[in-house]
Amino acid sequence: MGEWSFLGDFLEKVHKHSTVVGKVWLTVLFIFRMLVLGTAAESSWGDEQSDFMCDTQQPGCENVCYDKAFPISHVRFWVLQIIFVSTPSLVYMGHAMHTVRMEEKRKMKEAELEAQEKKNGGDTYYQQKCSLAEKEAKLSGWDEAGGQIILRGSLLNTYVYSILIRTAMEVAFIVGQYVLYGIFLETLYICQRAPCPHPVNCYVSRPTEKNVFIVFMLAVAVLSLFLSLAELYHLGWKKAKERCSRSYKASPSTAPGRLESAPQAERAQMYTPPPDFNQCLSSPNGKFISPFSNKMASQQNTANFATERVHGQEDAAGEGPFIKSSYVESPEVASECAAPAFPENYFNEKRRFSKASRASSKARSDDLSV
Amino acid sequence: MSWAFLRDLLSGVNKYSTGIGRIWVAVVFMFRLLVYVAAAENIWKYEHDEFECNIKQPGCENVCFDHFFPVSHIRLWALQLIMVSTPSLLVVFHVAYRQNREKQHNQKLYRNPGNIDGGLLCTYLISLILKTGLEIVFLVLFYKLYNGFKIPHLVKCDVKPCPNTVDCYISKPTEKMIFLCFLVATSCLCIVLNLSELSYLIFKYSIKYYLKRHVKKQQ
Repeated sequence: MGEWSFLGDFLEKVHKHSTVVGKVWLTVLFIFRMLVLGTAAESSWGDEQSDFMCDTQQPGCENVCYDKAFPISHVRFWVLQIIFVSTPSLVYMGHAMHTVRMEEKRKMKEAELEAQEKKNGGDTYYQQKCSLAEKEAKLSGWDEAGGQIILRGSLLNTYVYSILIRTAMEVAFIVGQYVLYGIFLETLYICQRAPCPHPVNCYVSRPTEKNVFIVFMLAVAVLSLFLSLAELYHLGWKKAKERCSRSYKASPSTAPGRLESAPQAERAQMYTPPPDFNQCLSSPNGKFISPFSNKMASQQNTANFATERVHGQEDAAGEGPFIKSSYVESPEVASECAAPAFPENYFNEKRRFSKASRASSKARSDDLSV
Repeated sequence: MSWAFLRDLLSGVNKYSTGIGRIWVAVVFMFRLLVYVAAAENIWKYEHDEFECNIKQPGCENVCFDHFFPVSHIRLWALQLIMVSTPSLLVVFHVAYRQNREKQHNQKLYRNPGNIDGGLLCTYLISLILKTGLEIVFLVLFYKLYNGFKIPHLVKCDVKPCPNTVDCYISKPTEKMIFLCFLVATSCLCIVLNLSELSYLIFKYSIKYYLKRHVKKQQ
């Protein structure tokens, strides 16, 4: 079991940055596959060749018959299956870490440049300190559980491809196992291969116990496959919903609480905000802290944010409830859907009440320009 | 056999590697070390006991096994893993040397001791060349020792004290061949990764050097 700690350590990191279904898949992999393989299955197959008996005294006959009956042992097959099925997740993790590193480098450079500019410009000492503090918080934040990677753009594509490849691998190995051995192991194997002088009866050791494990591992593989497909569906459904709401928003709506979208520049700012006083106040784990005590203002902000999210990001992180961006809902409903994991730079937007919330609810041409 | 030592060593190497270097470390961990420890070791565990010759002559099986397997595949595999991982230690030692120097002189001598430039770049390139060289050496060794990468199920042996040409049967030849192919494939992949890292580094730093010279000339 100790040998699986190699893979276990890598997969721990993947566990932090997966969707909910992804986490369940990883848990299934750890407990039902690695643990079972390492502890029970290995010992069951331990004496597979020494207790493989053929009804002959011909030297070499047992060797060749065993080789014909089991071109690759079940246990080794499952080891390869686990390795190949885990590899796409590690590729995704590599991409995520690479993205994080690039972001860190970029932000460090930005912070350095700003610090220098401010030195030359003679700006306040406080903002410099803030930017450095923010940079340090960000750098240390990524390693901790709070530093969640947001799935969007190329990272989301990598995640989806990794799940697709993982699914393909599962199917390939399940089919491969069926083609090699069928589903159940027979007690008796009739062998006809030189140097055996005639068809010889060979008896497999512990067939029933092996069958139990074979069925178990097959069931877990099917479960993993189902979980992968569920994750794909979950991600695909979210994307489709986003697209639907985007196309719905393209046509004007007369729903109450019409929101004013942030101008393009502000939306762009959301991706690369300059370090700001407010960001220094954000918690190190990147969670959104509402300064609002006013519930209405909070709800308005939620709805405003939903607009930003739909226009800007491809949100498929799956952390927390999906933000509803349909405008037929009342503000009360919208507040229930407020996702806790807002980006840290949300605070950077200059939030104010939408003019429409007080005035008429008629659609205006400058609303929600795509 | 505890491979945790090698694993910890390579995790340290990961810090001072380029992107391709990190991929190399992941391939070595996942496809070579893990497969060796979890699967391959058990296949070759009882290879001597399961090696059977069609003769009752005492000692014949022993000499035949020794004749056909001077070094077992699995031991060569383990040696290869160790040899191929060791050159990366040169980089770790050099970085440690740099950090030690900074401590001794009590001043910042390098922008970042772990940054690949100057002497560390040379060390890194040497480690890459050594790794590639050792991989090729072991692949050639495998090929020469066992006459290709095939494992037959039957070998004919006529070494004394066997009185005549004797049929000897190797256990699990198909399974051994599958994992041998796996070893060769991952070795080749590692060679490709090392060579691309080598060319990437040479290309990157020659461009840097050329640009520096160009800027100096202009000044």
